[in-house]
Amino acid sequence: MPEGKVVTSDIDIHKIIDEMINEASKRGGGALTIFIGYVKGIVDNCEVYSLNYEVYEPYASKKLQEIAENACSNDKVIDVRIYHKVGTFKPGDKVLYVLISSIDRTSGIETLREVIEKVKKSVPIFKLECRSDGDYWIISDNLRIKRR
Amino acid sequence: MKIKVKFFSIIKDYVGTDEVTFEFSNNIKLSELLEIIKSKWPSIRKLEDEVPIIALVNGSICQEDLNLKDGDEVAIIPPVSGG
Repeated sequence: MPEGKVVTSDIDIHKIIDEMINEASKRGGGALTIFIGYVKGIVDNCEVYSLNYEVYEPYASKKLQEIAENACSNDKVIDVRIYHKVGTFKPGDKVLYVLISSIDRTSGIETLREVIEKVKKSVPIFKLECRSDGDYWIISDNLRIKRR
Repeated sequence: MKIKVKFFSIIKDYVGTDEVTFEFSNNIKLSELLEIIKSKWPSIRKLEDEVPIIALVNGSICQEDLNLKDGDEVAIIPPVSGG
């Protein structure tokens, strides 16, 4: 079943992978495509200390669920899971998981790209990056504005 | 009627609070509420030169001529940055 939500603790990625493969293998599946986003340690040649995620709930989880369900309307996509963590994280901490099980690799990779773009552009989640040269609000994909 | 307004990200910094509730005796459109907010916190107008300001009503983007209802929640946000 497609699932998208904000989570406050780490997920058991191996358990989810096993669940998805077991289920998809009974329905003609042949590919599991996975994206894991984690906190960068260096940005603009500066050390990143932490990345804080602020989330507008319940609308962020609703949007993630909607993205997962819509992606499953593709006949070649069997299941979609999206888990976005909220809180303050250190470099290397995993913060976003997207998993697509599909009939073949092409549909899995294409759907993965589409889902990630939708997560980045349509879910009410906001980032504050704390680094060696100050704190920066991250606006949309690339704009960084130094905190006053 | 009561309208709760929430501020997120850089906008929260500019207004100095994350939430405020407005009370109105008459009906009000979203565009009118936004003007009230910008008048109360003029720094938002300056921020708008750099960052688009987006208003969500109960979590959805709406037309600015929308008539707000008692109990509506309006979120004032910059472009999102998940992932």
